[in-house]
Amino acid sequence: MLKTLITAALTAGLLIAPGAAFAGTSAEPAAVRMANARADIDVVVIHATKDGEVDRALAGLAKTLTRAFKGYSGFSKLDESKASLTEGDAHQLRLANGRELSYKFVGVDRDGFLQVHIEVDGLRSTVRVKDGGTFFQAGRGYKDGMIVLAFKARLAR
Amino acid sequence: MNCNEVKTLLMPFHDGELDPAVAAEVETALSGCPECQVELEELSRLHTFAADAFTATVPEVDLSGVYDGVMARIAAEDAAEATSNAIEGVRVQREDAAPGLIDRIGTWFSELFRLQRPVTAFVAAAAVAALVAGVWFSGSQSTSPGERVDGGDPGIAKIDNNGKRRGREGEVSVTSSRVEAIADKGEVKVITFDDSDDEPIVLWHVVEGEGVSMPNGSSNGTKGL
Amino acid sequence: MANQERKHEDQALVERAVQGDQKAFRQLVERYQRKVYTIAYGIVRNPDAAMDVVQDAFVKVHRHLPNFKGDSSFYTWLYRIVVNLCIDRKRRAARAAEVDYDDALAHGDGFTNGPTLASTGIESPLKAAQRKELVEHMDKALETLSDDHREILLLREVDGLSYEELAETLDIAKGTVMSRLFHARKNFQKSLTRYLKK
Repeated sequence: MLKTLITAALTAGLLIAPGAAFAGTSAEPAAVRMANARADIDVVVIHATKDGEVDRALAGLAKTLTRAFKGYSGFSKLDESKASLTEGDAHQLRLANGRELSYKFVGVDRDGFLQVHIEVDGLRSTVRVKDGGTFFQAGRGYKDGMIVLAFKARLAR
Repeated sequence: MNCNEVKTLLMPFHDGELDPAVAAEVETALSGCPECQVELEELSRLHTFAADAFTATVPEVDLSGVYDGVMARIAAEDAAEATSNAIEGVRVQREDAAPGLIDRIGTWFSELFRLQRPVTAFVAAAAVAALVAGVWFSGSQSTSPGERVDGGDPGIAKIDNNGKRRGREGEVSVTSSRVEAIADKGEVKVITFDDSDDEPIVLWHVVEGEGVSMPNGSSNGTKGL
Repeated sequence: MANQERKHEDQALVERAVQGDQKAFRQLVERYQRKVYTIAYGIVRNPDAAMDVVQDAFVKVHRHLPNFKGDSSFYTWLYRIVVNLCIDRKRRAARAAEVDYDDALAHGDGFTNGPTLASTGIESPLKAAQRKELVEHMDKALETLSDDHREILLLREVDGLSYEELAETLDIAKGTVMSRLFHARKNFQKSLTRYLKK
């Protein structure tokens, strides 16, 4: 027992730690299996700043963005990614600040909410979203503002 | 004990591995054997060389604050445990924790790290509080636990939280049937949520030093840390 | 102090601490904090992280002391706690997104890059530079050793395992522990001296 532990420690200590190894496991709320459930998940990567205006490319999100991020008036679109995922499928995206985002469609739960699991730079979270709904992840500094990730999830038909 | 026996015991003797009784015998034998003494010195030098080398590679560090830090953290965890047990549903507000405690934690935190990196007391306290007490929520009007708010803009995600549990050591995980987030030490994670259809869900992940701070008290109800 | 004596003292302190004797707990902390730091630093290679581990470890000790049965020595138990915390930490670091190289240097996140000079703040720059050089020499010297020798040297000198623990860990006889350790130290001294002379 002690031997295995020490071997592990020595391995951990003496070997060079590997680079990003995405591991998407944390306890997730149970999802009810819906046969062949597939979700279209869109992510828009946004640079939010205290000054400035809303990028025209973000017109659809403008209202929600200004409501969610009071104090920020400038929002510019940095990137967008659309993925169509079956249950358990994940998709990765490299962000402007060098971090890697990974998101996974977990499934549809009993109440019809879509479960989306996201992992980015130490944050791991599973969010339950209404079909067609939107949520954000924000707070990491970037240049003179911060990165906002806008997620929209919709059941594919 | 003859010299040959003694010589075989010199290394364990030097390493403090002998039973006190045997060690005493070796000591006695040594006093009468200069050759053995020389050999012990050799062994000692050999060992000290390695030991010193290893010690020297560890950076100097001031450990005088460790005990106090440990006790403060234990006190904070105990206090948070008591507080959280009294809270149901969603609203775990920082006002619930005695301000004195947070200030004290903040001071201790800064003290402990004063030699290592500057940390603003408030954020530090928040980090510790976030770590020990759970993910802090700020949000608008509370709903009673379990009550779901529905309707409104179909484009907005809804959330209700009715559970809280402690995850692995060093992590706090807040589990509800809707949202689970993991907070790691040194970072402040807050989930803002809303039960009206006006305000979208934001998963905040703020890291100290990055220049992004939580939004502070504004009409949308989100309170700063 | 011989191992036996230390073990007895530890046991007494543990018993008192479990009863609520704060002074006894404090003694345990002060007795082992440096050792814990050394072990943690040996694995995580970052002063701030090592400090965090020190604190985490003793908080854990305090919480679980009533559960400590005493079938191993207190130090072995503490050692396990520390190593586990370090492994968890490394796993979490590996799981996080790829760290920007510049970012790592800025934050002193030297998990793989070894000690950074910026983070400690109490060392003089000269001392820090000397230490860095020594680390490089030592790494080279350690590499020249056989796996067995390197392993036993680290377990003894960094982790402070007793002969008995070494025998159990490495699954060898105590006599083998002694001779292996002796040769490891000898070879290490030879090798390091050679590098230092360069």
